[in-house]
Amino acid sequence: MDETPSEQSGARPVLRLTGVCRHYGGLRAVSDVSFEVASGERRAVIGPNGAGKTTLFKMISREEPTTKGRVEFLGRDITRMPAYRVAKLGLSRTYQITRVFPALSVLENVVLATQGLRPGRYQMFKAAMSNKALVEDSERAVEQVGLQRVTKTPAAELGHGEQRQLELGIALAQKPRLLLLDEPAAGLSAVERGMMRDLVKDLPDDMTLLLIEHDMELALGLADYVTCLHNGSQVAQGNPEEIKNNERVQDIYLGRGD
Amino acid sequence: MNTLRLVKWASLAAVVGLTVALPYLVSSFYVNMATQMLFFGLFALSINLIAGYGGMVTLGQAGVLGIAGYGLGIFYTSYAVPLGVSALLAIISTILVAAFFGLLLVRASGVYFLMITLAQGMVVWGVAQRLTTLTGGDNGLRGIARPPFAVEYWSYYYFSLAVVAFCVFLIARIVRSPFGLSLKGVREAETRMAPLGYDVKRIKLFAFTISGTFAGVAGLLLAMYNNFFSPPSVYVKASAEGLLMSILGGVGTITGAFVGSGVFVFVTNYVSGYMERWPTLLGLIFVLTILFTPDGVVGAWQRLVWAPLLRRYGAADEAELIEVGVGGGGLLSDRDLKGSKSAIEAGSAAPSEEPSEQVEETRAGS
Ligand SMILES: Nc1ncnc2c1ncn2[C@@H]1O[C@H](COP(=O)(O)OP(=O)(O)OP(=O)(O)O)[C@@H](O)[C@H]1O
Ligand SMILES: [Mg+2]
Repeated sequence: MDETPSEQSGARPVLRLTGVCRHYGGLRAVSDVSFEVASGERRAVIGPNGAGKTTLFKMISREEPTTKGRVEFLGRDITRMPAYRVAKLGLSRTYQITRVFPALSVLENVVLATQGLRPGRYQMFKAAMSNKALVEDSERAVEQVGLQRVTKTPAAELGHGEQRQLELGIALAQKPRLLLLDEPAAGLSAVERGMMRDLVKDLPDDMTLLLIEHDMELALGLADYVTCLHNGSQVAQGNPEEIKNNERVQDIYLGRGD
Repeated sequence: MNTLRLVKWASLAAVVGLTVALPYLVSSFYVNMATQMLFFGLFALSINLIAGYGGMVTLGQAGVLGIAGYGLGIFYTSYAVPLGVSALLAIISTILVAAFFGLLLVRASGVYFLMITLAQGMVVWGVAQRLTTLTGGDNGLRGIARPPFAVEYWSYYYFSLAVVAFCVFLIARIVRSPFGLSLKGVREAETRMAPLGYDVKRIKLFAFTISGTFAGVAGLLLAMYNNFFSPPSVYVKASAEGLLMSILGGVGTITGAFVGSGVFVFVTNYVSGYMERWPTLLGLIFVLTILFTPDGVVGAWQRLVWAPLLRRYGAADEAELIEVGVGGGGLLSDRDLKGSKSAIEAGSAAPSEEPSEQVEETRAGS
């Protein structure tokens, strides 16, 4: 297996993938991917369209079954665990295509996220929005992504950029140990991308990040370590410098792959 | 803001006053109509709980209502169990049956979901028709009594009012609770819920069971009102009528269910006395509602009357919430939310054009 920082430091990895595959009928969307992500690491997953990046995320968050292989999170085998349990262990994600709750207000969106990890989440007699601790924690997450001026606005009314901020706010509200970001800057303008990059850069050091990004420059700027996928397979791993100079990666990105 | 609060309280007081004084104001015919409006409203509200708040359309809720109606009838008339105990046993049976169908329903979605709800209604109807020794078949069950203290038309009205008001109180709490918020979450973005830590099947199962319980209470009131229970009450048509009531009034609102049942009861009881083609009229009303105000009568009221009033008295952000949120996103509309234009025009709380600015501000501030 490739060497990763976690093996060097000897600490238990936050995430360990072992020979992970996902087949859709005959299509091998992800085949035999193995890597480890150390605590506090920021790893980018890059690769061209259809490389299998999102599918890999879905297997880690357990939104899709894993055809073959093993997914471990914080030392626990989660390969067959229901998604809502995995979330409780401290894993959150964002989506490439914004997936917020359109008719709910910004604050309600975030409260829903905060509440999801707390014991009273199915409780039926007290008003959700009158739970002080819950609302205050949620307001903090709203501020963190800069939406404090529109807390009462329904998510459907937000502009695209703000929806991306909310998407991130929902995930951050859960204070995850491992955060999966699927193209957080998708569809943003150049200025907004810069803001998003800063937002991600400023996340707490102990939050482990796995980041999918098309924009090489953005990805390499944020990550300590990079995994490159192509046609479902892992074709290169290394630090940003190594990836930049990797011939295979250059071939793929210049369209000389296969 | 104070004027608004006054208007709010005054109208609430007027509604409560009228409701309580009703038997002193109008004849028994109208009081009986009001009683029907109450329990059909509760029935519509039970549908609204899963369809309006949970986004899951059911075509079989009358089947659930029927378990309670038949349960009451069978325990009381065939086994001579005391009325109160019969009612309790009937509700317990309803909860069990609703939970059983719930277990099937949480495994399905889309058309399959709809088919199972349809089957749910058909199964109960079929059993009611065939199991004549228990249910009386087409003749139904006669001799279902009202509680001894609520035999008269007016006392039964008050009895229904108390029961329904209590149920509405519970439902109002439930939809605002963490569970209620999760249910709306399922409606708005079901696939987002599990990754946030929610067991979606559990939320749905709770919702079906709770909704079924309230439908059961409506079924008890219906059976005692008529002293009679028969297959048409559980037929698919009855389920569809309940759904239409909640759409007509306004999906995802509590008052809507009662406005819807009010229109329905008025047309079936009153207009039908003057007009042979009253079902056509009912159909026409539904079609026009869906065309012109997909969020129902309550939605129209809030957008056309209440929101401008709020705006006028300086509560623009509240007005905006109404214009966009309250209807809960349509059951039939594509959630292309209304009123967004006016909300942006109003300005004060409208989203800014340049989100990135705000990111910078927070960063600078922290
Ligand atoms: N549910 C599905 N059923 C069948 N094939 C699928 C499904 N989801 C993804 N695929 C296929 O799997 C492959 C990998 O898709 P995936 O979405 O993981 O790519 P990606 O790397 O995220 O691409 P992009 O950069 O465009 O987001 C693609 O060929 C895609 O068409
Ligand atoms: Mg993708």
